[in-house]
Amino acid sequence: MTHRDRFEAVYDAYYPAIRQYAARRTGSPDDTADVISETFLTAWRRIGDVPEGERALLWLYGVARRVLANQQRGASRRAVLTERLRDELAADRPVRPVDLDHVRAAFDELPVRDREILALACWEGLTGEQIAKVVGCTAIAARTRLHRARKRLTAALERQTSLTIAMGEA
Amino acid sequence: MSDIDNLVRAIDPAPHTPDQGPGARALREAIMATETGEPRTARRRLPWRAGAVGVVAAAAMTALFLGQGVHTAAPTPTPAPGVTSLSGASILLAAATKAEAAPGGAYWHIKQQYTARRAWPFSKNDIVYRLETSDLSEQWVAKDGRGWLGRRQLAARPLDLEAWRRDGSPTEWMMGLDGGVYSTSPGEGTLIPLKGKQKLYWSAMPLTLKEVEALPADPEALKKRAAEAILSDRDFAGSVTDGLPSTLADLLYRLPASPQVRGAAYQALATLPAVRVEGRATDPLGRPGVAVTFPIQSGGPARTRLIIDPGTSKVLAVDTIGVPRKEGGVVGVVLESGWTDAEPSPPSTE
Repeated sequence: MTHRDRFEAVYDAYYPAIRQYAARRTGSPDDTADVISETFLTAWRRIGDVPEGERALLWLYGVARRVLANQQRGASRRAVLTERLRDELAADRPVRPVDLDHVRAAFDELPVRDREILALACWEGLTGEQIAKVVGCTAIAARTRLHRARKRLTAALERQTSLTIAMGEA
Repeated sequence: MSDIDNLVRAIDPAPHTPDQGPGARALREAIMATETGEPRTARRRLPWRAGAVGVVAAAAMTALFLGQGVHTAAPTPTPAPGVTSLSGASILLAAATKAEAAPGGAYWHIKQQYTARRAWPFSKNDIVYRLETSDLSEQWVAKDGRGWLGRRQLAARPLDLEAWRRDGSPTEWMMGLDGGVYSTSPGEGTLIPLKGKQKLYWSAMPLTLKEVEALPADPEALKKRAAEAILSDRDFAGSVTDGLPSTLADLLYRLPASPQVRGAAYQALATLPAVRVEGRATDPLGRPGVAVTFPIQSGGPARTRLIIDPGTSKVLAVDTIGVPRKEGGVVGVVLESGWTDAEPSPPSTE
């Protein structure tokens, strides 16, 4: 299998997952397109490092996570690559069910580490072991963090609910 | 899975698995048209988790949950005073009449230059200064459906000369943590023949050159076809209203529409309330024109801006405005858009 074939296979298999990962964590189609293109450019440049099988996806999540971390991730420096993609993403707006505003508010008030771990578990559907591979910690640490994050979200939700009721009565 | 997990899943901002749309396919081709890092990186297999450390992660999550991006204060076009005398619709309608027959040729060809300005954080001496980088991007489609992509990195230049000198006057800058460099010398031009018969994408709808030529030259009929093109995207979650301006604008420069269809596209744009003619502006090459803007999503502040030459109806430049940007953004200049008999070749700087 040539590098080109391998890259095509990785891209085709994991584009949807990486696009979702990026869309969930960015605020605009331009940023989403940046994260997608930087992630796959890195995979292309380092195709020999991309692990086989399902681990390839975890590897890509790890790259995407680092791209997001890099504030300088491009200011759309890949604009030339993502021209059509940006239009496509702009047409596909995220969904926001209104009745879940209190859940979103509770989620948003969590520490960033809790949000990351909950998002990887619930949005990407990763197990503790897989999360550990993406964020670079042990599986035990990942499971502990997940457990604590759930507890803190439960507490935050209770606060949000009482706040909503109080405002409703006012 | 706990109840809490179900609640978190319910606020998933992107719950639907997207298909690979035409934009995704274009990105794949474009990435594969760049140089691969092999075999350099194959020699030394770094543990891939090496870079993902806590501080970085915290920064990432802060950035993403604030929905903040690294975005632009557009470097160029500034509207001139005295724009109010221009009537928006009449400018567009005047442009419609100027959509003249372009000379024919064997290849549909578009050549664009993208220029970005941004702060550069990777100095060895921890000095941050701004860099200007540019790319040339070309696309050809032959009448028989063969296609090519051309790309060339142009010379980068530091914008803050004093800070650049303090940094030791480097002539190369890392693109990012994962390799690649920008240089004060232009890169090599690359030309990549694309596999298979190329279709041109109008929104999500693949069209052959013949199908583009056959688009209706009546503004209302054209809007209907544009709506079909938008709705052909199975992942589409926005409204047709959101998609119409950019889909119609595609016909002005990105697709080989006939002069009649380009005229109809201008007329159709003139009927859309979201489309605003902002007044006179010059493109990054100093070419005078008129700025026309429309929202990327309705209700959102970000707008696509086209600078058109009302005298020829040509699109001169495209960028995004209205996004709070910490730095410089990206401006795309349309250098060529039309039919040519010149064989596809790696982008030259001329």
